[in-house]
Amino acid sequence: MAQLHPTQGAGAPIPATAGIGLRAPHHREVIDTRPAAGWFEVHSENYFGRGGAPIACLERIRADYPLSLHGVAMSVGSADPLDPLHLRRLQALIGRVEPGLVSEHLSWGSIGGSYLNDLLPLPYTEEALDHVVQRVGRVQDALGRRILLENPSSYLEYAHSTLAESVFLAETARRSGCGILLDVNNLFVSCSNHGWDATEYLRDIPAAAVEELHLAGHSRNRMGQEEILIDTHDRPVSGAVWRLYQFVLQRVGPRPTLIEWDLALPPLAVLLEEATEARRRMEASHVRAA
Amino acid sequence: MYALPELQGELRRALFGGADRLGEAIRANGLAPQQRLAVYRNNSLASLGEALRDTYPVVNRLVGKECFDGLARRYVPLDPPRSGCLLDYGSGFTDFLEDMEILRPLAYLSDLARLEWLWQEAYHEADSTASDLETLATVPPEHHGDLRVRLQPSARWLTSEFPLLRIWEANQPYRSGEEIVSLAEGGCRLLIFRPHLEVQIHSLEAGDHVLLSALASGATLAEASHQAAAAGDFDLAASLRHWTSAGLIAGFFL
Repeated sequence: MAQLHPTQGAGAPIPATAGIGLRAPHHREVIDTRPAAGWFEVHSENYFGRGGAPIACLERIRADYPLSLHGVAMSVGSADPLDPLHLRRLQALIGRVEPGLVSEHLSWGSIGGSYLNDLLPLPYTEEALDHVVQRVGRVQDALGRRILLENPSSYLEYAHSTLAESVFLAETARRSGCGILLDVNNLFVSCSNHGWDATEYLRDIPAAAVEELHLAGHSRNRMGQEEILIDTHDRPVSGAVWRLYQFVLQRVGPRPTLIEWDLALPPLAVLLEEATEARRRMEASHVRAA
Repeated sequence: MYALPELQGELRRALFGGADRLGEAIRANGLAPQQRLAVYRNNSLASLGEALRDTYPVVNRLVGKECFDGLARRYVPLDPPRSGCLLDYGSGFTDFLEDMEILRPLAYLSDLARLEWLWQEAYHEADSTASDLETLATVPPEHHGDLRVRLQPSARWLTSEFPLLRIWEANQPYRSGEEIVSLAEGGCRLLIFRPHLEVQIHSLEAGDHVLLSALASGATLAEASHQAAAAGDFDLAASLRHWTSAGLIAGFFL
């Protein structure tokens, strides 16, 4: 029998256990079977419609589970002005589903009014840092709440960057008051692609600011003599990312951990198994730390 | 060294326009800058192509995945999203299809795409409760002709010289796709709307089409029914009963 989840009140906190990235093809099954997932996270923009089935399903699921909203297109790092309509739509969605957490990405995805539907990397400069701190502040003011900012997977670095990504992210959190969503798979992918050291990266990240972790699958791609990892979200979490996750847990302690899977979406049962594995590792790490 | 706005503008041009001025701004570290940009270009074009395929599944089925991918790769840089919400993206794809020389033999394709776009608009449109004829009991009969009607916010209209609804139905995922639809079946007047959560597509007779579109543009019942009667045989009471019970009418007001 699926365990029952008490209905949570407004802004119900996301528990420090494993959750699942919820995608539309699983809406029906979640509503009908009430699986034993600790919480769900959705991409905010998928529920920006004025009405209809997606938002109706989400409200139904929200009645049984804590929910987190994860934005992919606020374009926090863009030099364009923030889109007021986007902010209003997010605000309206927050009002409807009362999420426990709201997160965005440390990246940009639009310029000159055009959107590229990608999480493009920022140059890690003092100029960009001032900009991002200001923008996160504006988003938090507009939403009337704190957000989390996620480290992206990246495939290039700019020659004129002067700060490590970890320092940039930690400074953004310190100066804007936002929290950090540490994506362990992104950390692994970027470290591998750029030759960064994950241990050094984590040393820069204040554990108290980390409020959520992400796990996902990536692909390894050969390009000539070189290899590049791509954050594909289309397969299970790799062994190396599980090991890094345990290291992160020792460093920051148990945190709400999300299994993300977007392409080649498997049956819900596969996601539940991945979530069980995350929970098992979280509990084991907690016991060791105690 | 670029300031942030210039850097981002150059990167957009590199991904969508094939411009190549960024080489030195990207750290050479194993892979060449162009290979690194190619990863982003692929992510961006492929994910936006998938967003279009989600909105236009029947077009995808009719032209085939490979052809659809090619069309999307040409379309996306010409008309990229103007908002961060992909539900808004792709209305211009219908005109783009109409202008494509190689698609001329599929003359119905752009109208079919318009139907898919309206379906998706209706799917995400605001909810509304439906009204029934009993609400009219409070209005004196002599004022009925002065009533106006509020339709479901999801109501959309499409007329075409092609049998779109038949083509659309024959190419739903649960259909084999073997069925032959003859274009000689002729054109259609379609009403697309969502009474609850499921989108419906109705093929309208001339009278209903005139009546409902007149009501949608704010005509009174008397005016709309007068126009509908001019279009041929027409029974206002029967039509109102039918469309109220179908859930199309959200309210009556004076």
